[in-house]
Amino acid sequence: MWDQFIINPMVNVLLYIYSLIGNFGIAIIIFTILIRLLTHPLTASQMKSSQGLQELQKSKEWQEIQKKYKDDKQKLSQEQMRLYQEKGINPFGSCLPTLIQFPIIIGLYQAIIRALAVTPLQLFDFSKHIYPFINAAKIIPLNNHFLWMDLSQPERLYLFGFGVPVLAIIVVITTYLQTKLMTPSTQPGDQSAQMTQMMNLYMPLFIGYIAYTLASGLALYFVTSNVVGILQYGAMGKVNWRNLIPARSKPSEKSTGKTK
Amino acid sequence: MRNKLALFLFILLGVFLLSACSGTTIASSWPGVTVNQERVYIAYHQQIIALDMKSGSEKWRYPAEVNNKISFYAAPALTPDDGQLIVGGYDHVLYSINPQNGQENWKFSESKYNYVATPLITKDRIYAPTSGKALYALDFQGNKLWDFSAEGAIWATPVTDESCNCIYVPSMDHHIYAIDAQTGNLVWKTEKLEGSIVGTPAMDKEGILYFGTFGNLVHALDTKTKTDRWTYPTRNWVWGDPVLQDGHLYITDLAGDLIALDPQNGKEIWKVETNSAITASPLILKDKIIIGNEAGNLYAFDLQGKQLWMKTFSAKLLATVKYSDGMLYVPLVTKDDILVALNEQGEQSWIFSLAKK
Repeated sequence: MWDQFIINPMVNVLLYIYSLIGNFGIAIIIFTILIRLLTHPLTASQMKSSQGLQELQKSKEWQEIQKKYKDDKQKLSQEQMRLYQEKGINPFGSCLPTLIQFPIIIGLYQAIIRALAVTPLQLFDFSKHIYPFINAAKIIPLNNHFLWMDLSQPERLYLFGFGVPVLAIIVVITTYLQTKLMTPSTQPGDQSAQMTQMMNLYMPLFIGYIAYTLASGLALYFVTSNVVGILQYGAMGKVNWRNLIPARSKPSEKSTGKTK
Repeated sequence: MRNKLALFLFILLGVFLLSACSGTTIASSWPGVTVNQERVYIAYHQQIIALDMKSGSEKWRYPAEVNNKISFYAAPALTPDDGQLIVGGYDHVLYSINPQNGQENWKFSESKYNYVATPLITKDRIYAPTSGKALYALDFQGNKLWDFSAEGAIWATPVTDESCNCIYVPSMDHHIYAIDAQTGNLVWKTEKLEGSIVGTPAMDKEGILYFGTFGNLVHALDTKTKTDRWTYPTRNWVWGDPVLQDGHLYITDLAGDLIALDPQNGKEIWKVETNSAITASPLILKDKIIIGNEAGNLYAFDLQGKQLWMKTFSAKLLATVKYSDGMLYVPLVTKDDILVALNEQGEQSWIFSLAKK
């Protein structure tokens, strides 16, 4: 099932793009943009949900329950959940765009590893997943070099004898930027906001660790996905630049959540 | 409480992701097997294993202790006096091992890429191809004589041609290269063919090279005129080495076909469809042909293509069956059982399992 509906279509779309342009790195970039376009409705829906959350947290009703139940965390949580339900808002909405990526990440990783088979058994297994419309004989072996990288191996740029994981560093930075820019301004003391902040901190490190240890083709996907994501949110006018400046994201200032 | 739940879910996701990835990061392939008159040598996973041919009892392992940075899948090659066992690793190193006791003689570490193919051994040379385009020529002390760079990976053992003092190197880059055996200089190469070549060509006395490609074609290439005498279309990729014997050319393909051709004109003499992919080369004995397929069926056919017997294993049979002194040695693709020894009637003598140790 997983192979049939996730891995095989991904492998073959990647191969088809590669057969047109002859560069696996660019094929991954184009493929990532395609994935982003396909998941755009999900992204837009999530953004709408986040905006609703932001507006709710600014409402008088929300502020009142914060004051009323400030010494009773359990009751506060219950009241917050009641408000979420009344307004039809998902408090975990801000995590969704990143979480949605997980099946895609796993699928893409396996697609890349399969396509860049390094042993006879891997190539043999790979040959069975290629759709008939791809002229596999013509394009195999795939050129797995892109810029300084071997896309089937973890990336290191050797400078003065030291292997610097340039792409993993860019992955951490762009993931951090993306999560910060996409997260609405929050109220202090809000538990879901604390969770979001924690995710914003750990997720870039976690994704960066994956990029550091696994095939660089996957890191290329992360960077492209992050950059395209930021541009996508920017185009929708939803990028929250204020989140990059901690002092200005305090609740005392009225955050518009609009792109400047 | 909610923070803890979120953290737990986050860690769970991480574990899920990494566990999904880990199954594919470790390189794996089918065992590479070589036999001589007394021993079977298996290159599989992290060690080379020497077995007694009659009993299947283990004689030694190299390295003695498992090293996670090393793995072997290319079948080892013996020097003409059986004095050295030469094997390339996925750690980019070519090793010379004493076949008697498994002690390391020397190692050659210049390559930056894996050794997927078995090296070609001549009377005084080692020609070791790599997956990173380079082919190294070494003497028997492990000293480099020259190196040659193809346009792509080399997964097949080269062929030597003493009449021109050259070697022919099949490559995944869709070319066959003719290289001066003394200097390593390119003499000529084919035009870009329709697909990769991962099987070692067969060669006759007239200098005709027979090889198959991933482009579903078998070629009979005249090395004097550099042109095809004939081609033969197959139903799928040709992976295994073609075998030339007693006026027949035997080929296999991933459609599961075993085909006997007339090497003079490429006409089909007979064909058997096993309906499961064949990556191995056929083993041709004096009165029978042995071949296994992905479905785990091991067949014995007579020389006219009539089935003599079939034995089914719960393992893929993807590597070429070896033969010595009346016994068949069949590599298996399973987690533990990696080699089974049978007599010529298909009756099992012994099986070697990694789980024993």
